[in-house]
Amino acid sequence: MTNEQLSAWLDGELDEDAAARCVQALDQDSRQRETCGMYWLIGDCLRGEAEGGDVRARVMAALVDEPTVLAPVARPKVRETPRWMPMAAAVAGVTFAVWMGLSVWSGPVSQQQTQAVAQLPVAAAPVLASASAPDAATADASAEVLADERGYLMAHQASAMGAPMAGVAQYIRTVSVDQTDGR
Amino acid sequence: MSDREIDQQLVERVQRGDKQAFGLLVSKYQRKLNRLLARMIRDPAEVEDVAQEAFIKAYRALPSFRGESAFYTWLYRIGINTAKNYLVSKGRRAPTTTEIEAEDAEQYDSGELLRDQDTPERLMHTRQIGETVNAAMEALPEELRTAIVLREIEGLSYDEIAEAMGCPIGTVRSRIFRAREAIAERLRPLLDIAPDKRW
Repeated sequence: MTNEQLSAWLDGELDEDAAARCVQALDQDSRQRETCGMYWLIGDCLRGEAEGGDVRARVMAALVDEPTVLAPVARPKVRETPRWMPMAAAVAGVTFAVWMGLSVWSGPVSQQQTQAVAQLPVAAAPVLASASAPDAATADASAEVLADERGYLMAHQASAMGAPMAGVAQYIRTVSVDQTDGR
Repeated sequence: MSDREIDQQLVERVQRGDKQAFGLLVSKYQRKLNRLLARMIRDPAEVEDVAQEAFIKAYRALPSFRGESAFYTWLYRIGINTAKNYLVSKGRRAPTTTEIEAEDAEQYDSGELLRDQDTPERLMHTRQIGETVNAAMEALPEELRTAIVLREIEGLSYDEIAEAMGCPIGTVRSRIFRAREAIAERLRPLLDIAPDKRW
């Protein structure tokens, strides 16, 4: 460190890193500490504040017997996450799970049903139509068909296409029903 | 970096076990503290004793210093309390807190008081230092003298000085340094720093 840098340091004109290097250099160089003290004395003289004796040597001599000061260094402040963020993340997670559940159980199914109805051959139409009719005989037939379908789906669940949906319900798989052959 | 930040940097060095950094703080504030104490204690020798005690108390208390106030305000408060305790121990009346407040301490002009009470030798030494600095200032080239006056007396930053003098900031830095060196050159023989008083 040069004396010019020292002069700039005591005027507060060095950036933080350069100032830290300057203080470190002062620790190791007694001549520069002397120069530093001289510069402060000059400043005090120019401001008319130089009265009083020099007690630095006496203080430093007295400090030889003093135990070295060691204070715990404050940890640098970690930027805290805003408190609303975990709550927002939880709400977003729940919302996503609900949305996924609803889209699996209601949205897409009803769409599939609508499409299936539209594409059903005429022969299959009475099955669905009969489900809405209050006729006892057709209701029994419809219940029988549905029970057959359910049994078939349960038996072939493992070989159904589509991956389980993580985080929602791992047992849910997509299946398609071909009604043309009555199954 | 501000003056307060420089002090804080030195304080943190001391808190990590660097005694020399505390020596720098003593060197910087000893005259200001002496001026403050001279308002409470008339004998200059006693002022120095109390100043020394105050600095040692400050050193011991430094682990608890967290930088909420400026170091010098904290130091002056210790100085005032030390002086009051000293006066009480001597059976003398200590000034009330309304007479001296640490925050206002820098504003007091106690120089006259110290000069009145000083011994002839000490007075002569102080006067010699002042005269030497004045003579060195007179001998400085105009641009160096202006730069250091704007810095030390007016308290301007390098930026402000550069604007006032119409020169680059690097030139200001160089001029202030050269002015200090020229004055220090004349002061060194006068101070005659003894080996035992060296850093």
